[in-house]
Amino acid sequence: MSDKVNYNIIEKDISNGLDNVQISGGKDYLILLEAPIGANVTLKLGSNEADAIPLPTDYSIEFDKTNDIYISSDAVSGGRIKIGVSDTTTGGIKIYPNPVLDQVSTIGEVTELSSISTALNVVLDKIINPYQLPTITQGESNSTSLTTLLSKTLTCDKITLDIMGGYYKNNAVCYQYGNIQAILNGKIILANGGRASGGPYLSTGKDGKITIENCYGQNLIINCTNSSSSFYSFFILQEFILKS
Amino acid sequence: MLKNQVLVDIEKREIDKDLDNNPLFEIIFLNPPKNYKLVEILEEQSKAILENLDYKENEK
Repeated sequence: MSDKVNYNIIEKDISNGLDNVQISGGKDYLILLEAPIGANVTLKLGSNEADAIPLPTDYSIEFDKTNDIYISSDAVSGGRIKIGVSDTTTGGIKIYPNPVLDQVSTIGEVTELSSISTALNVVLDKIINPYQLPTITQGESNSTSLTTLLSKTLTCDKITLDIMGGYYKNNAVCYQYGNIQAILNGKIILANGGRASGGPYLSTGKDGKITIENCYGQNLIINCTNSSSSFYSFFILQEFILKS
Repeated sequence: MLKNQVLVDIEKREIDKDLDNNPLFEIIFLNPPKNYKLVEILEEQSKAILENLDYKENEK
Protein backbone atom coordinates (compact mmCIF):
# COMPACT_ATOMS: atom_id res chain seq x y z
CA MET A 1 0.00 0.00 0.00
CA SER A 2 1.40 3.35 -1.04
CA ASP A 3 1.89 6.06 1.56
CA LYS A 4 1.44 8.69 -1.12
CA VAL A 5 -2.05 9.82 -1.99
CA ASN A 6 -2.23 10.90 -5.62
CA TYR A 7 -5.05 13.26 -6.45
CA ASN A 8 -5.78 16.84 -7.49
CA ILE A 9 -8.78 19.15 -7.20
CA ILE A 10 -8.91 21.64 -10.05
CA GLU A 11 -11.06 24.77 -10.26
CA LYS A 12 -11.58 26.64 -13.52
CA ASP A 13 -13.37 29.91 -14.28
CA ILE A 14 -15.72 29.36 -17.22
CA SER A 15 -16.89 32.93 -17.73
CA ASN A 16 -15.50 32.69 -21.25
CA GLY A 17 -15.96 28.95 -21.59
CA LEU A 18 -13.20 26.37 -21.90
CA ASP A 19 -11.87 24.96 -25.14
CA ASN A 20 -9.76 21.79 -24.79
CA VAL A 21 -7.95 22.98 -21.67
CA GLN A 22 -5.42 20.34 -20.61
CA ILE A 23 -5.44 19.43 -16.93
CA SER A 24 -2.98 17.46 -14.80
CA GLY A 25 -2.09 14.15 -16.42
CA GLY A 26 -1.03 10.73 -15.25
CA LYS A 27 -4.49 10.04 -13.87
CA ASP A 28 -7.06 7.30 -14.44
CA TYR A 29 -10.10 8.70 -12.61
CA LEU A 30 -12.02 11.95 -12.97
CA ILE A 31 -15.17 13.38 -11.39
CA LEU A 32 -17.01 16.62 -12.10
CA LEU A 33 -17.73 17.90 -8.59
CA GLU A 34 -19.35 21.23 -9.33
CA ALA A 35 -20.62 22.97 -12.45
CA PRO A 36 -23.26 25.67 -12.98
CA ILE A 37 -26.36 24.98 -15.08
CA GLY A 38 -25.57 25.44 -18.74
CA ALA A 39 -21.87 24.62 -18.43
CA ASN A 40 -22.19 21.48 -20.60
CA VAL A 41 -18.79 20.15 -19.57
CA THR A 42 -17.14 17.64 -21.92
CA LEU A 43 -14.01 15.57 -21.61
CA LYS A 44 -11.49 14.29 -24.17
CA LEU A 45 -8.98 11.57 -23.33
CA GLY A 46 -5.71 10.72 -25.06
CA SER A 47 -5.95 13.54 -27.60
CA ASN A 48 -7.61 16.91 -27.96
CA GLU A 49 -9.10 15.57 -31.20
CA ALA A 50 -10.74 12.58 -29.55
CA ASP A 51 -14.51 12.31 -29.25
CA ALA A 52 -15.93 14.57 -26.54
CA ILE A 53 -17.54 12.75 -23.60
CA PRO A 54 -20.41 14.68 -21.97
CA LEU A 55 -19.90 14.91 -18.22
CA PRO A 56 -22.89 15.90 -16.03
CA THR A 57 -22.24 17.17 -12.52
CA ASP A 58 -21.41 14.42 -10.00
CA TYR A 59 -20.58 11.95 -12.76
CA SER A 60 -17.24 10.22 -12.59
CA ILE A 61 -15.29 8.26 -15.15
CA GLU A 62 -12.49 5.70 -14.98
CA PHE A 63 -10.06 5.15 -17.85
CA ASP A 64 -6.58 3.85 -18.68
CA LYS A 65 -3.99 6.18 -17.22
CA THR A 66 -3.18 9.05 -19.58
CA ASN A 67 -1.30 12.32 -19.57
CA ASP A 68 -3.71 13.91 -21.99
CA ILE A 69 -6.98 15.00 -20.35
CA TYR A 70 -8.80 17.91 -21.99
CA ILE A 71 -11.80 19.78 -20.60
CA SER A 72 -14.24 21.97 -22.54
CA SER A 73 -17.32 23.85 -21.40
CA ASP A 74 -19.79 26.46 -22.50
CA ALA A 75 -19.42 29.97 -21.11
CA VAL A 76 -21.41 30.77 -17.97
CA SER A 77 -20.98 34.31 -16.68
CA GLY A 78 -19.21 34.20 -13.30
CA GLY A 79 -19.35 30.39 -13.37
CA ARG A 80 -16.71 27.98 -12.05
CA ILE A 81 -16.30 24.24 -12.36
CA LYS A 82 -14.52 21.97 -9.90
CA ILE A 83 -12.97 18.70 -11.05
CA GLY A 84 -11.31 15.92 -9.08
CA VAL A 85 -8.69 13.65 -10.69
CA SER A 86 -6.75 10.76 -9.25
CA ASP A 87 -4.33 7.96 -10.07
CA THR A 88 -6.09 5.10 -8.35
CA THR A 89 -3.25 2.65 -9.01
CA THR A 90 -0.73 4.58 -6.93
CA GLY A 91 -2.57 5.63 -3.82
CA GLY A 92 -5.34 7.57 -5.50
CA ILE A 93 -8.82 8.23 -4.31
CA LYS A 94 -12.34 7.95 -5.67
CA ILE A 95 -15.15 10.25 -4.64
CA TYR A 96 -18.61 8.70 -4.76
CA PRO A 97 -21.55 11.06 -5.31
CA ASN A 98 -24.24 11.11 -2.62
CA PRO A 99 -27.81 10.47 -3.66
CA VAL A 100 -29.46 13.50 -5.27
CA LEU A 101 -32.07 13.46 -2.47
CA ASP A 102 -29.68 15.47 -0.33
CA GLN A 103 -29.82 18.38 -2.76
CA VAL A 104 -33.40 19.30 -1.83
CA SER A 105 -33.89 18.82 1.87
CA THR A 106 -37.41 20.18 2.07
CA ILE A 107 -40.25 20.78 -0.35
CA GLY A 108 -40.38 24.31 1.02
CA GLU A 109 -37.24 25.15 -0.90
CA VAL A 110 -39.28 25.21 -4.06
CA THR A 111 -41.07 28.29 -2.79
CA GLU A 112 -37.75 30.11 -2.82
CA LEU A 113 -37.72 30.04 -6.62
CA SER A 114 -37.76 33.66 -7.70
CA SER A 115 -39.45 32.96 -11.02
CA ILE A 116 -40.59 30.25 -13.38
CA SER A 117 -39.47 30.42 -16.97
CA THR A 118 -42.09 31.18 -19.61
CA ALA A 119 -41.44 27.82 -21.27
CA LEU A 120 -41.97 25.94 -17.99
CA ASN A 121 -45.12 27.96 -17.32
CA VAL A 122 -46.52 26.94 -20.70
CA VAL A 123 -45.72 23.27 -20.06
CA LEU A 124 -47.24 23.34 -16.55
CA ASP A 125 -50.36 25.06 -17.88
CA LYS A 126 -50.80 22.33 -20.51
CA ILE A 127 -50.47 19.64 -17.85
CA ILE A 128 -52.93 21.25 -15.43
CA ASN A 129 -55.41 22.52 -18.01
CA PRO A 130 -54.66 20.90 -21.37
CA TYR A 131 -57.72 22.09 -23.29
CA GLN A 132 -58.80 25.40 -24.78
CA LEU A 133 -62.19 26.82 -23.81
CA PRO A 134 -64.84 24.51 -25.30
CA THR A 135 -67.18 25.22 -28.17
CA ILE A 136 -70.71 24.63 -26.90
CA THR A 137 -73.59 23.42 -29.08
CA GLN A 138 -77.11 23.08 -27.75
CA GLY A 139 -80.08 21.50 -29.50
CA GLU A 140 -83.57 20.26 -28.76
CA SER A 141 -86.68 18.90 -30.40
CA ASN A 142 -90.26 18.02 -29.49
CA SER A 143 -90.75 15.81 -32.52
CA THR A 144 -92.81 12.69 -31.94
CA SER A 145 -90.93 10.93 -34.73
CA LEU A 146 -87.41 9.55 -34.35
CA THR A 147 -85.31 12.55 -35.31
CA THR A 148 -81.60 13.21 -35.68
CA LEU A 149 -80.77 16.30 -33.63
CA LEU A 150 -77.08 16.32 -34.56
CA SER A 151 -74.83 14.49 -36.99
CA LYS A 152 -71.19 15.46 -37.00
CA THR A 153 -67.69 14.19 -37.64
CA LEU A 154 -65.82 15.47 -34.60
CA THR A 155 -62.80 17.71 -35.13
CA CYS A 156 -61.98 18.11 -31.45
CA ASP A 157 -59.89 16.07 -28.97
CA LYS A 158 -62.47 15.61 -26.22
CA ILE A 159 -66.22 15.99 -25.80
CA THR A 160 -68.51 16.31 -22.84
CA LEU A 161 -72.09 15.47 -23.69
CA ASP A 162 -75.17 16.11 -21.58
CA ILE A 163 -78.51 14.72 -22.78
CA MET A 164 -82.02 14.52 -21.42
CA GLY A 165 -84.94 12.78 -23.01
CA GLY A 166 -88.50 14.02 -23.24
CA TYR A 167 -88.91 16.49 -20.42
CA TYR A 168 -92.09 18.51 -19.93
CA LYS A 169 -90.86 21.89 -20.98
CA ASN A 170 -93.40 24.25 -19.47
CA ASN A 171 -93.44 22.97 -15.95
CA ALA A 172 -91.07 23.71 -13.14
CA VAL A 173 -91.09 20.04 -12.16
CA CYS A 174 -89.55 17.93 -14.87
CA TYR A 175 -91.58 15.01 -16.14
CA GLN A 176 -89.86 12.68 -18.58
CA TYR A 177 -91.60 11.01 -21.46
CA GLY A 178 -89.29 10.48 -24.37
CA ASN A 179 -85.94 9.08 -25.30
CA ILE A 180 -82.63 10.41 -26.54
CA GLN A 181 -79.52 8.53 -27.57
CA ALA A 182 -75.96 9.53 -28.43
CA ILE A 183 -74.22 7.27 -30.95
CA LEU A 184 -70.47 7.38 -31.55
CA ASN A 185 -69.19 5.53 -34.61
CA GLY A 186 -72.39 3.50 -34.72
CA LYS A 187 -72.39 2.50 -31.05
CA ILE A 188 -74.71 3.92 -28.41
CA ILE A 189 -72.57 5.63 -25.78
CA LEU A 190 -75.32 7.35 -23.79
CA ALA A 191 -79.09 7.09 -23.52
CA ASN A 192 -81.63 8.92 -21.42
CA GLY A 193 -85.38 9.19 -21.01
CA GLY A 194 -88.26 6.84 -20.58
CA ARG A 195 -91.53 7.46 -18.80
CA ALA A 196 -90.97 8.68 -15.28
CA SER A 197 -92.78 6.74 -12.61
CA GLY A 198 -95.14 8.37 -10.12
CA GLY A 199 -97.13 10.32 -12.62
CA PRO A 200 -96.83 13.88 -13.82
CA TYR A 201 -95.64 16.68 -11.57
CA LEU A 202 -94.19 14.28 -9.01
CA SER A 203 -91.14 12.95 -10.76
CA THR A 204 -87.99 14.81 -11.57
CA GLY A 205 -86.04 14.06 -14.67
CA LYS A 206 -82.37 13.19 -14.57
CA ASP A 207 -79.91 13.97 -17.29
CA GLY A 208 -77.11 11.77 -18.63
CA LYS A 209 -73.52 12.90 -18.99
CA ILE A 210 -70.47 11.43 -20.62
CA THR A 211 -66.93 12.56 -21.41
CA ILE A 212 -65.00 11.02 -24.28
CA GLU A 213 -61.33 11.69 -24.96
CA ASN A 214 -59.33 11.06 -28.14
CA CYS A 215 -62.51 11.43 -30.20
CA TYR A 216 -61.03 13.28 -33.19
CA GLY A 217 -62.51 12.08 -36.49
CA GLN A 218 -65.29 10.01 -34.92
CA ASN A 219 -68.88 10.39 -36.03
CA LEU A 220 -71.37 11.58 -33.42
CA ILE A 221 -75.13 11.25 -33.94
CA ILE A 222 -77.80 12.28 -31.44
CA ASN A 223 -81.31 10.91 -32.02
CA CYS A 224 -84.50 11.52 -30.06
CA THR A 225 -88.21 10.87 -30.03
CA ASN A 226 -90.91 12.18 -27.72
CA SER A 227 -94.33 10.90 -26.69
CA SER A 228 -96.05 14.13 -27.61
CA SER A 229 -95.08 17.61 -28.72
CA SER A 230 -95.41 18.76 -25.11
CA PHE A 231 -92.13 17.00 -24.40
CA TYR A 232 -88.69 18.14 -25.47
CA SER A 233 -85.44 16.20 -25.61
CA PHE A 234 -82.26 18.22 -25.53
CA PHE A 235 -78.50 17.97 -25.58
CA ILE A 236 -75.55 20.17 -24.69
CA LEU A 237 -72.30 19.27 -26.45
CA GLN A 238 -68.97 20.74 -25.35
CA GLU A 239 -66.08 20.25 -27.77
CA PHE A 240 -62.55 20.67 -26.42
CA ILE A 241 -59.37 21.15 -28.45
CA LEU A 242 -55.93 20.59 -26.91
CA LYS A 243 -53.76 23.67 -26.47
CA SER A 244 -51.11 23.83 -29.17
CA MET B 1 -83.26 31.69 -41.97
CA LEU B 2 -79.66 32.49 -41.15
CA LYS B 3 -76.81 32.20 -43.67
CA ASN B 4 -75.54 29.03 -42.04
CA GLN B 5 -78.94 27.32 -42.27
CA VAL B 6 -80.37 25.22 -45.08
CA LEU B 7 -83.92 24.10 -45.87
CA VAL B 8 -84.21 20.39 -46.70
CA ASP B 9 -87.09 18.09 -47.58
CA ILE B 10 -88.09 15.49 -45.06
CA GLU B 11 -89.54 12.03 -45.43
CA LYS B 12 -91.54 10.38 -42.69
CA ARG B 13 -91.16 6.61 -42.55
CA GLU B 14 -93.00 4.18 -40.32
CA ILE B 15 -90.35 2.13 -38.56
CA ASP B 16 -92.21 0.23 -35.85
CA LYS B 17 -95.35 -0.10 -33.72
CA ASP B 18 -95.61 0.66 -30.03
CA LEU B 19 -97.18 -1.63 -27.43
CA ASP B 20 -100.63 -0.26 -28.29
CA ASN B 21 -99.99 -0.99 -31.96
CA ASN B 22 -99.72 2.68 -32.82
CA PRO B 23 -97.22 3.44 -35.59
CA LEU B 24 -93.80 4.86 -34.73
CA PHE B 25 -92.23 7.14 -37.31
CA GLU B 26 -88.76 8.27 -38.22
CA ILE B 27 -88.02 11.56 -39.91
CA ILE B 28 -85.36 11.38 -42.62
CA PHE B 29 -83.64 14.54 -43.86
CA LEU B 30 -83.10 14.38 -47.61
CA ASN B 31 -79.66 15.56 -48.82
CA PRO B 32 -78.55 17.12 -45.54
CA PRO B 33 -75.14 18.79 -45.13
CA LYS B 34 -72.33 16.44 -44.05
CA ASN B 35 -72.29 17.87 -40.52
CA TYR B 36 -75.52 19.38 -39.26
CA LYS B 37 -77.70 20.26 -36.31
CA LEU B 38 -81.49 20.29 -36.39
CA VAL B 39 -82.97 23.77 -35.96
CA GLU B 40 -86.66 23.18 -36.63
CA ILE B 41 -88.99 20.67 -38.27
CA LEU B 42 -91.77 22.13 -40.43
CA GLU B 43 -93.93 19.00 -40.64
CA GLU B 44 -96.86 20.57 -42.47
CA GLN B 45 -94.53 21.62 -45.28
CA SER B 46 -92.47 18.40 -45.13
CA LYS B 47 -89.34 20.52 -44.62
CA ALA B 48 -86.72 20.99 -41.97
CA ILE B 49 -84.25 23.75 -41.21
CA LEU B 50 -80.76 22.43 -40.52
CA GLU B 51 -77.69 24.33 -39.40
CA ASN B 52 -74.69 23.52 -41.59
CA LEU B 53 -71.90 23.07 -39.01
CA ASP B 54 -69.22 23.40 -41.72
CA TYR B 55 -70.49 26.79 -42.90
CA LYS B 56 -67.83 29.48 -42.98
CA GLU B 57 -68.82 33.13 -43.40
CA ASN B 58 -66.12 34.09 -45.93
CA GLU B 59 -66.65 31.12 -48.23
CA LYS B 60 -70.00 32.30 -49.58
